[in-house]
Amino acid sequence: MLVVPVMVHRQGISRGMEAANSKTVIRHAPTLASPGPVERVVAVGVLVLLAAIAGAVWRASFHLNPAVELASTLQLVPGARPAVVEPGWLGTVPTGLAAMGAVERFDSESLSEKIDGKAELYVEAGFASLESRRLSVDSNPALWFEALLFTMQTPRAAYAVYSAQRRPGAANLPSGTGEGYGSGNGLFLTQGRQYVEIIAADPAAMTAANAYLADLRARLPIEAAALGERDLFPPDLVDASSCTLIPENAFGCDRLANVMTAVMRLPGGTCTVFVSLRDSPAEARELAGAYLAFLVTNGGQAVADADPPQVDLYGFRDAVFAEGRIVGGVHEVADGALATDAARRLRTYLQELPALAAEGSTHDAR
Amino acid sequence: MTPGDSTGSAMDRREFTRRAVCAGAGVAVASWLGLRFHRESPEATTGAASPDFTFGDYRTQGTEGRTSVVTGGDRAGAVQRALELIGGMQAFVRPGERVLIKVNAAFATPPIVGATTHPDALTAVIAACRAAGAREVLVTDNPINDPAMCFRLTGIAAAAERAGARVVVPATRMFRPFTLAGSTLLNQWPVLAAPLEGIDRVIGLAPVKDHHRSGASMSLKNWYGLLGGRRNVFHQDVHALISDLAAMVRPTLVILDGTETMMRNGPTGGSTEDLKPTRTVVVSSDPVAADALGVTLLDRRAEDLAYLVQAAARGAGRLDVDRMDVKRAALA
Repeated sequence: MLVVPVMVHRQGISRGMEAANSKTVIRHAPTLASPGPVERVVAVGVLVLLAAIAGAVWRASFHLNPAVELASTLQLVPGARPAVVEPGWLGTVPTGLAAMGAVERFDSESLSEKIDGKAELYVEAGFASLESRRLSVDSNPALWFEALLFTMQTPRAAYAVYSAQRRPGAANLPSGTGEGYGSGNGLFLTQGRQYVEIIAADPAAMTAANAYLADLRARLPIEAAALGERDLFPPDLVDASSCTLIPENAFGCDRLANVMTAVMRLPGGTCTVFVSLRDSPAEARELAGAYLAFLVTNGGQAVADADPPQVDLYGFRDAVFAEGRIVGGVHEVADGALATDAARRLRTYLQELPALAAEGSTHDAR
Repeated sequence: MTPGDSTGSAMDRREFTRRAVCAGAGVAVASWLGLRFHRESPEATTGAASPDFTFGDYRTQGTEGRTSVVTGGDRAGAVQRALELIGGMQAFVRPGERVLIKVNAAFATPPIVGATTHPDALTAVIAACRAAGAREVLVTDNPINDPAMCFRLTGIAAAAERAGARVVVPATRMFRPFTLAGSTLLNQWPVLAAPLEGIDRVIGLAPVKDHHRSGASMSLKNWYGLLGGRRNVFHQDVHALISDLAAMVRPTLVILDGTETMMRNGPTGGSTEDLKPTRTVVVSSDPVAADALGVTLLDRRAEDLAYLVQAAARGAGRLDVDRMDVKRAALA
């Protein structure tokens, strides 16, 4: 509001003009007159009121009332499709298919409007954007599928969400770029920073879905994901397709990040084993010790004379050790003997790896 | 005339006063506009001022705790048998009553994925309601994805219409603010009120699914589809929210369709390999008990679900299903 300053200014000019018109005018340039006491009080009062209003609005802006929706952002009926800025990877509709709608695009703010509670899985791993589109077979519209293309921030992030959701025992896709698998009605692929799902409404649509994925696969960028941890598991005991990358908060421990798990098959049974590559042997030792302490803090009991060290947490064993720059172990194994066997086999395999042998450290977490 | 002359001051004062009044009026208008945009209620989006909504008590007297579990058979047959075991739908729905079936149509995915209420289960429930003499049967949900697409692609709309029910697709005007006493989450929150107006009975019909945030999505989580607004704000308090939902809705019946249970990658799933053919249907007038039975299909325990423990603790239902008179049957 500029009324008050203008009022004072004009009043000053007005007085100057009156002085110029009088018979005893003193010829000098008009000057701004000083406001009187009442004017000062009123002016200050108005300014204080304006400042108070501004302050109240500023303070209220920090108060989030989730029930209040601004007209520009509200979706009381969620699911309204966001505006499509560009076709993206799914803009092409191959011959023989018909688009059932436009490409939908979601960011980290709107991702939950597409996949609800599963959005956190992607956001926590490093999500960038999602495109999705439904297509049907031209000759039979009842045969349709939906393509969901998640772009993650890194190839490792794409692998993380791919591996976290991998269906056990599913058949691998034909060799080619990226890696993936198929199920009765779905195709799943990770390639570069992209993670792709193609979900068919009917298995009869899979022929079209496979062709669509092949076309997409040929167009998506190829960017290798550094997944060297997968080579740290004994290949005769661990199926590489069982590997899962946990970017952070592995096993509920916020210090355990970048952990690769896998399923190890032994005569005594199967169990989850894990490795995490650190920057130095000292860091690996420190982290292994920290994870053991975390388990104890959360109600676990250290198992006496266990080698590698183990903690029993409500009937389930975790074994943890450091071997060179690697933190390794087993997770949530009910059978103590199996936990010991798996942990020792893993550690022995790591000790025999040429690179780790050259680093020379064999200290474990004890 | 010189500055300070009394005649000139009087004129200046009049002019000053006039301008002060104009300035004050401008400030008042600006303040009113600011307050207009900063309303605590969702009036701005729900249209004309909407009084708070109150949920009714849709329970049928004399049917407290009736629970049944049926295994085997086909989906529709299992639903029918499970209802028969606890008195049939006629024990819950009186002739001439209006029934609302709250389905799970959250995602625009095909029935094969198992993420939404199966059309065959819905058909069986609608048929049972009509056979019991229901005057009208409505079907509704406030989905995560586009509502029209959800009801169509899930097959729910077609099944409902074939069975003689009416699908109510949510629209903005159908929501009204709701406050759950004692809740820090459901305070003046928009709920899907219009389909519930004039309704006598409410039946929840949901699949059994894994859920990435809450651990499971069953009958209590199904009431999430009665909420409007940006529901993702609840994800950090999902257990407290679902516990609130248990207190919010007192349904006539809940039906859990565990014919195929989504064992992993919920709530969306995507692959048929996420589904396990558990071939079980649970029907109960106690949603907490229903979920306590349903969670076993996920190879989990009721105690593993924080929201279920919380819901039972606040009196929304029973967890001790082993001590309840659960009627059971196995179909071929």
